[in-house]
Amino acid sequence: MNVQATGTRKLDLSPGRAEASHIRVENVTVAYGAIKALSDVSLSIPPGRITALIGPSGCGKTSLLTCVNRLIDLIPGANASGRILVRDTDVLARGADLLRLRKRVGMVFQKPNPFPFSIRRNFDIVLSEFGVRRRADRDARIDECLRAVGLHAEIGHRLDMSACALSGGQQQRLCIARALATRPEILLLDEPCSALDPMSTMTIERLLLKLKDSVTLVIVTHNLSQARRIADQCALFWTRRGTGYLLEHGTMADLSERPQNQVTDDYLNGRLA
Amino acid sequence: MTSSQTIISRPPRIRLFRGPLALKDAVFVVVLWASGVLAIGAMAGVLIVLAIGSAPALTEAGLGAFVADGDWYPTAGEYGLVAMVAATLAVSAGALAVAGPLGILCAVYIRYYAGDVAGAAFRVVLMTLAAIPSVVYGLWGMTVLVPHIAAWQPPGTSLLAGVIVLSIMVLPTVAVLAEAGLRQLPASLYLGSLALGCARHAAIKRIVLSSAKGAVAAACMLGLARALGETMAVLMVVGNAVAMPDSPFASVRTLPANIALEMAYAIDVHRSALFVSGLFLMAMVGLLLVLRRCWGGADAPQS
Amino acid sequence: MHRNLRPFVNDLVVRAAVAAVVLVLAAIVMHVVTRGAALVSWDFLTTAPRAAGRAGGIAPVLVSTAAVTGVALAAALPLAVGAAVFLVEAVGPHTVAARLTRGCLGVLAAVPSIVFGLAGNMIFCDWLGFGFSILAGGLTLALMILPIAACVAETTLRMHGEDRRAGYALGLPQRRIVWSIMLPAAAPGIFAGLGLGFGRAVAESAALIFTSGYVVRMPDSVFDSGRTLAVHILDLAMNVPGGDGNAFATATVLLASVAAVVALFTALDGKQGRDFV
Repeated sequence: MNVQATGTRKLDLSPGRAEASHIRVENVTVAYGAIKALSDVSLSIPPGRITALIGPSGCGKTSLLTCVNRLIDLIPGANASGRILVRDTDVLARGADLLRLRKRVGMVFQKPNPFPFSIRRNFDIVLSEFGVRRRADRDARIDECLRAVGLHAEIGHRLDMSACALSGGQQQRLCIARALATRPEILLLDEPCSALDPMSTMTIERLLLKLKDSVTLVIVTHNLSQARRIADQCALFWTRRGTGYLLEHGTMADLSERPQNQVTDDYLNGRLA
Repeated sequence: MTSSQTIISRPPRIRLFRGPLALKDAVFVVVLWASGVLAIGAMAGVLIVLAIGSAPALTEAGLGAFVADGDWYPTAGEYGLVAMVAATLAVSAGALAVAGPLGILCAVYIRYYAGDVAGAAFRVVLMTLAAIPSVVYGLWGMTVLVPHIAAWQPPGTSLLAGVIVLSIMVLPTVAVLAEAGLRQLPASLYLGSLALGCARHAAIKRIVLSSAKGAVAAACMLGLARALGETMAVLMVVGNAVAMPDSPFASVRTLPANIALEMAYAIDVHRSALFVSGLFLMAMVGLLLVLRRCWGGADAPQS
Repeated sequence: MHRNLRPFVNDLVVRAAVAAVVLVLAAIVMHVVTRGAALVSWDFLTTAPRAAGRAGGIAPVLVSTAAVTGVALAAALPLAVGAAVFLVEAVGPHTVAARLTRGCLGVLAAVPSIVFGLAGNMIFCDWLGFGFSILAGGLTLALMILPIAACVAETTLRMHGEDRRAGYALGLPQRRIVWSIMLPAAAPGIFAGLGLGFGRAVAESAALIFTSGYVVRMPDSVFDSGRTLAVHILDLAMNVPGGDGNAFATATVLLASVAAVVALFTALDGKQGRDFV
């Protein structure tokens, strides 16, 4: 399947820019009310790669993820400081255009959350908002998105069935397809496979490896072997007195074979947590 | 570092004056806030209208007359509401005295005695009781209850008949809200007491009910508020003579019944005096709400 | 011996209480239906009352009832949904505005229906000049069922928090999320709440006697006075000697319609196990 067919622009992966970052996290601190969840994280995420955020529960991985598309704004009392540059826009800046940002940065959640309507309506709601008005254009876009996630053969002919009637794995792929409908340049995935069976997990992993040619992927996962299988780059978060921080980052090979910390070594080799 | 630290302090969801906002979105936000204001306005409106309606009588006769006058002849300048306040309290308190314990027993039954099917079926029974219109209770009271009481202590239309009818009507409120309160208790509380060797009845009495005291009290308060405000079922069975409730067989008149009976033909100060009856009633209900706040806590079940 | 009996006595008390409640319900329903059902016929439903209601049917009363509850639900729906969406979307859950709104709805829920009658009489009949009319009665009932309908709508909307989050994550504007996602997804719950309101409205008499009035003629428009089923029962029972038979027949019709609503409500919303109180 040619992912280019989704119409997502090809990312600039020329050698000169290979080390450039797509998302640049600078000194980000997140607090919920008086509780600091994440402290002073700086991280650079390269384009066209899969970056995995790993670490034990409650160390702020999801908090960081929701800062990138400012979904954290939905949580009352949440507070983020620092800078996150997507290309050259600081998304944490006051007055950032959130709707445009979220169109550029898609997100997929732990629990598949298709809207409880027909499959077609799941896309229509998004497409009509982004100016795809003609039925034929919409159907073409729906086709593209479903093909990109490999759902076309399975449900392409049953677009009027309820999205909730699909299996868990299909629902999650539908959510990815729906996120692709806005033609995002970045896709954030918050433990997308933790609610799925191993077969669906494999399907999604294969899908992500295909998608990374056109979309920068950031995935939070608790599953270390999943991170080993798909991640190009890995950021290990840890927690100190309830506050998460970035312990170490690099390629998966770097982290497991040449860890800078004893904790990293222990965690990645299954001697901890 | 070009820009210093930026803070997102509050969800900037309502961006009326910030950033680009299409006209449609602005209209939407205005409609949204208007709905909120309307909900507040509905309550304020009812209370304000009650006050405005009461004003003529209160300025003409003064609040004192409503408390101190012995009789209710509003067309002849007698505005005494005390007997009706007492009757309202007597009927409601009597109803709660019956429906309170019975309702709590029903809640305990659903939670700890009945199986899934029996519990669901009994909930349907309670829902049906709650859904039966008050005039139907009144009709039943008039044609079944009152003749029975009359055979024993004529004339039959009495405080007692009011208490019985009202207790049936209040029961589902108490039962369902108390059950909701019990449901919020952690299951470990009951199972833990059983594990410690408590008998079922002891676990329920000593552990469960004392832990759910707040919710159960709140359920009773709400039941009492319903009882105070009930109009027609009571009106149809209590006889409606304005008198102090000095015996269970006495004919009495409650505040809501007073309004319903006389509003059709009342004019001027008389009409305003009926609004004062409503004000007294509202004050009693308001007092209950305040008490419930203090007693049941903020997490008490809402209705 | 004495101690061994205690659990049995306690169990007996609980089961006796439950049995008493079931019996009372059965006694009331049986009494009303046995006295009323025989009189209910197609003619009864389709002819006008005669002799102050002692004879004849209830056709205009049925029409007025439908009109009053229709006005009430039509007015309550936007108010309740608006208030619920306001609480979910416009203000944070613990802000002053949210607490104030929820507090006001709570007080409104506790206002006795007769007080709604007083307020409705003054606002709609006097100030707005509707007189005793179906419109005035319906609007009064709308105020009365607003808090319960808003409460149910809010709970249902909050159950769709996941869909809301998904909508925001897709970069959809709030207006779009509310109209195209939250409201359609929550529609069954919202209508179940409205069904609850219907149950209240059709049972109500105290708030109606001096807003929609007593007139028993067939109403021509919503500006005519109209007598609802509950008011008709009240009038037959209290003011019409010999009206008992038709009072019971009308009560049977009223009970049947309430039962239909309860059944519909359970079917629509049964899985949520919400309370019909």
